[in-house]
Amino acid sequence: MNVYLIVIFLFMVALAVIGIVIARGIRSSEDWMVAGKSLGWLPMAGTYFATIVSATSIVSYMGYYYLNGWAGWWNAAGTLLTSFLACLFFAKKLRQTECDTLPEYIAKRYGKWFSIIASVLIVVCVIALLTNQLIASITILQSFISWNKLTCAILMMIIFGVFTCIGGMKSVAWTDTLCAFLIIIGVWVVAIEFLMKVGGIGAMNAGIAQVNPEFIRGFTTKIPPLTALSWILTWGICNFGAPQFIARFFSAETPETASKSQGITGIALLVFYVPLLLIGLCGMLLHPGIEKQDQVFTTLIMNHTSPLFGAVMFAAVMGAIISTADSLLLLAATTFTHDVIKQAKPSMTNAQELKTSRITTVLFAVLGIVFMFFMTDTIQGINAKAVTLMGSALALVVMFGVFWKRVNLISASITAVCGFATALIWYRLGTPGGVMAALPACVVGLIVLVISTYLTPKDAYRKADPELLAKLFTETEVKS
Amino acid sequence: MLHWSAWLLIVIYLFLGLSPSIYLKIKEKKGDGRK
Repeated sequence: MNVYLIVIFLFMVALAVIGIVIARGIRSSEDWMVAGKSLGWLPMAGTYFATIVSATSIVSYMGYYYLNGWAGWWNAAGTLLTSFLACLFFAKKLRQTECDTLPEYIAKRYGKWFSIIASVLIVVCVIALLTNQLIASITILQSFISWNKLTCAILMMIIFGVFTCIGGMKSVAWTDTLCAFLIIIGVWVVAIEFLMKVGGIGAMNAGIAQVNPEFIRGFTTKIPPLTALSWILTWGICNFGAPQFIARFFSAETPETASKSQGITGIALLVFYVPLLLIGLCGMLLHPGIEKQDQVFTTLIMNHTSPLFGAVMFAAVMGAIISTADSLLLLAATTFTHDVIKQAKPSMTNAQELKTSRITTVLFAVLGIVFMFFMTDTIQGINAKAVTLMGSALALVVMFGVFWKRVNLISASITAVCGFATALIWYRLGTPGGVMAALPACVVGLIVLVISTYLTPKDAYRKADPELLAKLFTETEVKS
Repeated sequence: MLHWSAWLLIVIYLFLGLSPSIYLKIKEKKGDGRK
């Protein structure tokens, strides 16, 4: 029998058992959404890591390094910047708000209507991200079994749905942590095997320089400094508008735990992206001529690792996909239930909210399969677009909202509209000069935010929830 | 062998990945000292 299938199957069974055991403690919607705000630094770091290291990182980034050499590595620097900023400034502050979801924070800080519009944008983008995970899982499944696309999609969506429905956030956090360990072990096993095959790091660099002298440079014709900077901003800033990451901070036991977990995540990301780069670069020498970015990973694993190592690697990636996909499903369902339906029907009981969350989870899973037939970009491209569109509208208002009390509904709304419109226009123009939309969107957003905040009345921020202001700013700051 | 710009990339990764934990550790030690 197929060794890949056996290892992946055993891994999924292990994940399901853990998920079910943890899910027995779920009693309220807060338990389901934010694990009753009880997560310590280990599951916090684990769930954040496994969510941010999605299939995009493994399946698509590896291909990017294979096709671009060292300069390709800029694409993940922004992911580390997110954790850097979160650890030092934002994770603690956001946890202090005591909110359960990103839209809830936006509602309290800027108002209900702003939050509802943000929620709709979030739900659409999150379903697109979910579809992305689905496409990645099908790419992997089809490399060793001959099922058609729809069969693979339905099978994977059932698995995503089961994992999400059984446990909510607490279950997701612990299964994510298991996946995080497996992912790191998986990439190191393959990286060491590949390095031994090419003769070490020195031989690898010499080899890729012969393929193309630009490949040992940090900047190339295809990835000049401005493209590198826009990669950093795409993830580094725009991730703050992506609720799948921000929601993690709300689940922490204390504000300090939220901050500490991001410090640990920074190290984990470093430990992860080094071997991923090495695999991509060694792959250039071991198997030249792969043209499609998203095919590099499966081609290298199937042809250049022993079946058992390959199976561990596939299980690691499937783990990453499941952990990201179940988080996204959970997020789409909770955002829609908690921040759209409950806003319209505040009389909803806790039990009704929990039931509705589970029903919407199934509906969004089906929608994710439908979306799959309309997406043609690379996995990395779809991910970057969805995060950029959410981030260009929301990241700056989320970040400045916790530190600059003068930011208000009017300035935040203008910033969100201008940032989002800039990103959309930039995409329509075909990302001129290889600069990704995040760079112009963040620059425009920042300028608009500062100008509009100073042009609006000094006390316009007072329309925000007084309790939230008290949690974020000192008494003197609020009164001044 | 590597070009300086690739080394710059490595330094940025190391700085972003390691400095937050080091900062928190130093802050924690200073806090303990005050106690």
